[in-house]
Order: sequence, then structure tokens, then C-alpha cells
Amino acid sequence: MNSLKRIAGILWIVAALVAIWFLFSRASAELSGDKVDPSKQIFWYSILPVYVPLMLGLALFGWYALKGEYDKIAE
Amino acid sequence: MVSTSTDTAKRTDDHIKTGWGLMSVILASSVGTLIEWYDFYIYGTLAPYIAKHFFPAGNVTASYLAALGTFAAGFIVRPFGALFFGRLGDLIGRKYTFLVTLLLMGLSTFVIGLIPGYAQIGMAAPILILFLRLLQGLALGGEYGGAATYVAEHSPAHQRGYYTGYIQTTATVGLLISIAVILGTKGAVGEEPFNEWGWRLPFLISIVMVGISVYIRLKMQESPMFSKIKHSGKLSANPLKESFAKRDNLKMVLLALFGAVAGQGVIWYTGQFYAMSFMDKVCNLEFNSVRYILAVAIIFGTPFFLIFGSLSDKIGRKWIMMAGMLLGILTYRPIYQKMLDLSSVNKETVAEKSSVGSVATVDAATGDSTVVTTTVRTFVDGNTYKEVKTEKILADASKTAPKAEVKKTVWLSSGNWWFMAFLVFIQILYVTMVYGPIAAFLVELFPTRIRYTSMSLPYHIGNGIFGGLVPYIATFLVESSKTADKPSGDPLAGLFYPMIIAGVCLLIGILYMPARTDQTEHHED
Repeated sequence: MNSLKRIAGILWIVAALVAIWFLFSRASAELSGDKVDPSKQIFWYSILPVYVPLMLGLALFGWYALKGEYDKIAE
Repeated sequence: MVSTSTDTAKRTDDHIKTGWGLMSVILASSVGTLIEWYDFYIYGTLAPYIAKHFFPAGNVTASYLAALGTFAAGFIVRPFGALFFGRLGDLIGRKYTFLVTLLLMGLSTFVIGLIPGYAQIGMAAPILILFLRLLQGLALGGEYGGAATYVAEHSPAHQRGYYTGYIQTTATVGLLISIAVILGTKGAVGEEPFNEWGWRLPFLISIVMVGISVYIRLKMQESPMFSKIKHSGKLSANPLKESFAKRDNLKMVLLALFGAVAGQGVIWYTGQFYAMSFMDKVCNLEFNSVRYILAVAIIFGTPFFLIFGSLSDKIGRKWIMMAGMLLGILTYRPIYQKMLDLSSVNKETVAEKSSVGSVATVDAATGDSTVVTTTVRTFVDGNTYKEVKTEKILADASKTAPKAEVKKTVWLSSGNWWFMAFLVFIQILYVTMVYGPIAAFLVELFPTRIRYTSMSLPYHIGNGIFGGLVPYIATFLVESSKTADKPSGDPLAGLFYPMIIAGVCLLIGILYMPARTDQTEHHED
């Protein structure tokens, strides 16, 4: 079980990085153009500073898992 | 025999841990939290009226402020409130901290009801409203953690899930009361006065409820666990640092967030708010009917917060929460497909009555005219559909007329109405599975000295950000699914967001979460 917990740690790190890439690519697609809807600007300028640190948190969670920090938690 | 202070404290503690003593603690805490949720929700429920009076559509700055009010208060400010008041609660105590949050919320709500509109004071109106909404978000961020911690620290360990279940009912019942007060006020003062000034009453009424709740809370004692560590000098000197800068605690904060609260947040917001928005905007159900359906589902669903809270005392918190997430992932699409089918207007029609409207108005200056066409159809299953189409015909034929406005309203037959309520009830049931045990789970994950701070942040990130974004991201996904071939897109595409978040959370929870947090002991306590 502990091996699985550690291996899955890589999955969380990759998932977090993919999510960050997805957020930036969608935001740049939505916000490019001559006339951008103000509500879209607010949406993305609110989402990015909030979601990117959260995804970094997921990556940190994955890192802790990979290092075996969660091995000792009681079953 | 001489009675010592220790004996007295023990007797008080025993009194609280049994019968009416404990129940009064729970009710006193729950009433305040309930009122905070009520205050927070009425702003959302009355958003169209607030927009009309404070954020005029033509004003770009006002539109920015309106959107900021929605995003900032719901998502960004709540975690800051959790940090600020959580720290305070771990330093000076639970009782005074959640008294402050209650006052802050109550006064902000009351003042919202007093602010003159944009027509009277211009841009000062939306700025003031935004400021007060931010204060509401801050207060909510501090309230929940305090109330959950306070009740949990009074409860016997083997019944912590059951007793904190009362606090868990407050978010849903708060929504129910906000709907009831708004519908009641609307009914009492009438449609037109409500649009003009009656919408302010639900905000103003709040001050009475807050006053009663503050009075009750002032009479409450400090949490026994907090008092114990305070007297033994074991309080944390810097709860923020201890919570988030120490690896041993930070890893538990991350586990709480990604292994439980994020999934709980999306299940909650999908079952309660996305369901409402889906019935309003996609199914086009009549406004009051949607509120009544939700109210019925909540009334039948609310006891299950206590049932699942109590069950979690017997079999552990983890698997009940995981089961709620799994059921959501597996059944959301069929449930929402059925909701669409029930309200579909592509059925066999038994009666159709159209009144090709006469010219409603003619603009004397331009000669433009407006034609209103109303079509009413009754379907074989008893549903009724009304479509009001408003078209502008320009006198100058060389100009392009604006797109016609179409307002669609569906009234469900009695059988379909109850079926719809049942489908929403199932979703509320999932909410009770994930939300019922979570207060006890979070409390048990962290030691008393930093509990308020440590549990409040993941709770408000999970619910405020992951959960709170459900309606916006879901709408974004539906819009993104629209193509030239399929202009209406996939109305169920929005469900992918809660399903993915709940899926990730489920996997993390199953893999890493301890099975019995209720058997965890924090030794420094």
C-alpha cells in the first residue's frame, strides 16, 4: 500500500502541472482578441491567482506522498 | 469535604457533556451559524434586485464591481477570513471570536439593506455594497470553523459526528430560510413594491435574528478543551506558523483539502446550487417552482445530516464521505439527463394557443415598433410551456434589428414536479453524506492548540473555491461545448468539473485518508 501511495504521488504532481498549463492556455485563448468581455476578464483574473497556488498545493501534496510522508498515517 | 476548583470545573464539564447542557450549547452555536448562512445567501438570492439598484447594466465599472463582489466575497475573501479569525480563535478563544464574526456578518447585512441606490448616490453605492459583501465573506470565513470546533470540543468523542451534524444542517437550512423569507416578503408586500423597496426587508430583518443570537452567545462558556490547554499554558504562540509552516501539520492540511473537502465542496455546490441554476436556466422552470422544489428536497434531506453524522461515529467518517462522492460521480449525468427529460418541450403537444401579439409600442420619434408574441403549449404529460417573444421592428429597413428576446417558462405537471423534487433530494442526500461527517473529521485531524486555524483554511478553500466555482466553471464548460453544428452545446458538459474534482478527491481519500479519525488522539491535548 505504501508503494502505491508513493507512486501515486507522481500522478498528483503531473495532474497539478497539467492543470496549470490548461488554465493558462485557456485564459490566453479567452483573453486574446480586440474586444474582450469584461466578465471574462474578471473570471480569469480571479481564477488564475486562486487556482494556480492551489495546483501548486496539489503538487506539494504529491511530493510529500512521493517522499513517504503519508506512509505512517493509520489505516 | 472541601470542593476544589477542579471539582467544580469537572462538574460543569459533566453537566455540559450530558443532556440539556450539551443540547443548549449546540443550539446556541447552531442558531448563530444558521443566521450567518442566511445573511450570506440572501445576497445571492436577491442578486438580480441588487444588480438593478446598485450595478446598472450600462456602466462598465459597476459591472466590474458586481462581478468582483461575486468572485471576491465567495472565493478569495473567505479563506482570508478563515486565516484571520482562525488565528484569533486559537489565541484568544472560540467564544469571543465567533461572536465577532456574527456581529460583523449581521451588521454588514443590515447596512446593505440601508444603502441608497445608484440613482441616489452614484458610484458610491456599488463601492459600498462591494465593501460590505467583502466583510460578509470575511465573517463567514471565520464563523464556521469556530462553531464546528466549539461544538466538537463540547461533545463526547464517541458522539462527535452526531452533535456536529447539527452545525452541518445550518448551511442548508440557512438557504431554506432565505428562500422562505424572500418568498414570504414578496407575497406580503406584492411584486411591484418588492421590486422597488421590499427586497431590502430580508436584509433588515437579519438584525433582529443577529441580536437574539448575540445575546445567546454572550451567555455561552468557552470550550472546555480550549480552556484546559489555556490553563495549562499550552496555547500556540503563532497558530499560523504552526499550522502551515510545520511539515507535519501542513501535510494534514493538504490531505484534508485534496482528500476530503475539495470533493465535499463540489458535491455540495452541485446538489444545492448547480441544481437550482440548472432548473432555472437550462430547464427554464418557473422561478417560484424551482425554489419550492429545492425547499422540499432540503426539508426531506436535512435529517440525514444527523443520520450520517451519527453513522460516522459508528463506522468512521471516511467511507461515508467517499461513498457520497462516488455516488455523485456515477449518477450525476443520468440524474441531470432525467431533469432535462422531465422539463423537455420537445414532446407531443395536446393543445397549443398562440396569440400573435399586436404592436405593443411604437416609438414616436423613430417609428420603431415592438411586437410581442405569446405562445402557450400543453403537453401530453401535463407540462405547460409559455414562450414570450419580443421583437423590435425598425422603421429604417436598412438597419439591422436587434435579436429578438425570448423568455421561456415551463410549469411541470404534479407528477413531474414531484419526480424533479425527488431527483434534487437524491443530490441533497449525497450532500448530507459528504457534509454530515466532515466537521467531526476536520476537528479530529488537528490538535486543539491550532485546530481553528488548521481546519478553517481547507474548509473554505474546498467549499469557497472548489465548490463555489461549480456554477461558473460548469457554465463555462457548457458554453465551450457549443459548436456551429451543435449551437446549443451539451447541457450536461458542466457536470465534468464536479465529477473530475470529486474523482481526484475520491482517489486521494481512499489511498491516504485514515479510516478512523475518531480514534486519533492528539497527545498535547
